[in-house]
Amino acid sequence: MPKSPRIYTRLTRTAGSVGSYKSLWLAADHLLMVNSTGYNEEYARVQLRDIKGFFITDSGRRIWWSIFWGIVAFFSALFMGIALSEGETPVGSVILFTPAVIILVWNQLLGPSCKTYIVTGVQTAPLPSVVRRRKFRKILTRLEPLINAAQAGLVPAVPDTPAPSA
Amino acid sequence: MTSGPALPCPKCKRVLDPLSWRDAQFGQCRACGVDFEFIGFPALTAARARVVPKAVLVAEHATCFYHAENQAEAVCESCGRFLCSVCSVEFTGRLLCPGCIAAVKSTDVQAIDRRTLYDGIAFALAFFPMLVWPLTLVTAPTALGFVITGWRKPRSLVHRGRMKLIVAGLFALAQITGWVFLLLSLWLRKK
Repeated sequence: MPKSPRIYTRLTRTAGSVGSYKSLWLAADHLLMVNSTGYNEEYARVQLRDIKGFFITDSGRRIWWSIFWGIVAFFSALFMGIALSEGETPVGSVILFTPAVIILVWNQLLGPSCKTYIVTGVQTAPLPSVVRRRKFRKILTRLEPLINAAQAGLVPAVPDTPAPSA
Repeated sequence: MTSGPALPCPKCKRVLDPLSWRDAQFGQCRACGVDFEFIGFPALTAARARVVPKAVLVAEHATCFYHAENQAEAVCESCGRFLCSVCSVEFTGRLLCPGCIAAVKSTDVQAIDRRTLYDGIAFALAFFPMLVWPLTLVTAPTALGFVITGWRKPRSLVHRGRMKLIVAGLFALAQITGWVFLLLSLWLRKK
């Protein structure tokens, strides 16, 4: 049986929340938002010709993760120092400290966090898989020519002019 | 301040008034105070095409299958029915009638709205019960069942490989083999 051609290319990696994983995919004429539980997937499509724009707002994701992993790194470093001062080998603290620092640095390297929304004629829907501004810029660079090409035939609306009074 | 499009605020959903916009791209919702950036496309200002069906004026005119009072202007590319401009809808690259859209929606890859992931179920059934290993007596055959039934079922639209099914199948088989050996050895020892 011939293999069917690949329709979708990935735009974002999976962003997880409690019990679900979200990702964004691109087809020739539409975006596909995938919401997966691991046991089933739900799909939502937005045609490129229907996209009116994107809203981006700030989010506290980067700060909250920094605080969380900062606390973990701080306390594991503290316990590591105590263990070293007492002449013990701080195995547990090192196991906790190393990934905490790596994730902390990684979180900073990913850049500012954001919430992204896609605007169409009938909805302003969140894009939960796009959570970093830098990633959004990358996606936009890729999408902009495609959306503009899909909307090339659209005619700008002429605002209603009031009838001249007699 | 410049005026921007009257779009709903992404956070509070209230329509952004002209004073909410600092310039064409940035603004702050006056209702909820959220700062936003907006990137617009031509569809934002485009005129909507109005669909106006043509009425039948002469008896010889072909009429729409669904609306006898409207002139036929297109043919459904799936069933061949005559359609007026209201009933002819471009769907997944073809001009279809409402009946064919309903039929296509369940089969066309570009219209499916959900899929059951048999590979994910089989994978979870093969691996997670290892935490409470006696459960694998039941879950391993169930996982193998999902591998067999899921092999020919439609898979995820985006992750299309069978690797998860293969791994789950092999692991379930290994668990079943383990149980067979365990039960056989217990039975032989009793004898």
